[in-house]
Amino acid sequence: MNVDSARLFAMAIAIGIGVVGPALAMGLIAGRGLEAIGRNPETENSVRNTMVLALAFCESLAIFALVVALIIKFV
Amino acid sequence: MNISLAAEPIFSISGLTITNSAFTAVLVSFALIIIAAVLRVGLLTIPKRAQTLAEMIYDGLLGITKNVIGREDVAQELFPFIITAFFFIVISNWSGLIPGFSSILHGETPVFRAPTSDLNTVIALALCSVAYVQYLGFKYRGIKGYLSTFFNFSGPIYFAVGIIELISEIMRPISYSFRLFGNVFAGEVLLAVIIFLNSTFLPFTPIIPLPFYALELFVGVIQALVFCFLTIVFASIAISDHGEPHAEVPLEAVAVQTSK
Repeated sequence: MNVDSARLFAMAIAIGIGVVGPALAMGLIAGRGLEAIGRNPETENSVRNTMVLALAFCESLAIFALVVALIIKFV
Repeated sequence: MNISLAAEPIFSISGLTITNSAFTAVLVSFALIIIAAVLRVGLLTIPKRAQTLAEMIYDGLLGITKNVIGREDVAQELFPFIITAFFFIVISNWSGLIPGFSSILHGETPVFRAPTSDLNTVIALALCSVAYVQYLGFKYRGIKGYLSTFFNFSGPIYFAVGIIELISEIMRPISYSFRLFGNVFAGEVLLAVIIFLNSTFLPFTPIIPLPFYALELFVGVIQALVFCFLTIVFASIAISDHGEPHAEVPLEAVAVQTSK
């Protein structure tokens, strides 16, 4: 395996494994958020705002993996 | 596709190399100054549309700041930094989304590039934010009081907690900057890839990249908000001197505020 193809594999593995955790977390957040809204519909606004913020925090973890993948690919 | 992770130099003034992102950052700053000056000159008691929008954003962020910090004087001191960072980051994020923005070339390199899609700009912002939070901590808790967060010799557990706090404090600029940089840069790469795929496999249809474009507009605001919110939360942790130091983000605080 030469360096170029190793890079492609490394990039694919980095992003592929890297998004598993954040995906799980985002699913949990959205699920729990909807559960909370279902139990208590008048809190929808506050739950939604908190949920979007928490989703942004989890998404940034996936973005870390993406940045690493991009660095492997382009640097 | 032409994707470059680092910002590219476009010209140099007596040895100082100006990259395209630094150039755009200056332009964004001038745009913000001009908008602020125009709004300031045309202030009305009964606001028109632009002034209403500006006041809405201002009031919303000020409300979040006061609610999370819980102290009027600190909130008033911190707030100018927060609102400045917010507007700069939002306009920077959106500047990369202007159609045709990166296709104006100077030789081989594009003349413009969104400032926040360059790690240098973002690290500078993150260091400003972290340094300001340290300053607030020293100011409101005193040198001895603030240092005792990190170097606490009253017990082995407190000592270990202090070391962990110190490490998390040092890692903070990195997580700040990679979050913002990654989101903005990944957004631009995403748009480029979608447009590339679209024009490779289909005749170019403008409707296909549109949802991604909307997503990037949304992400631009959310990431600016996250940056400001994290600064507020860390400042509120830095100035509070009761109990054990805790790095948990009190998300409920902002939710209560924004739902009002």
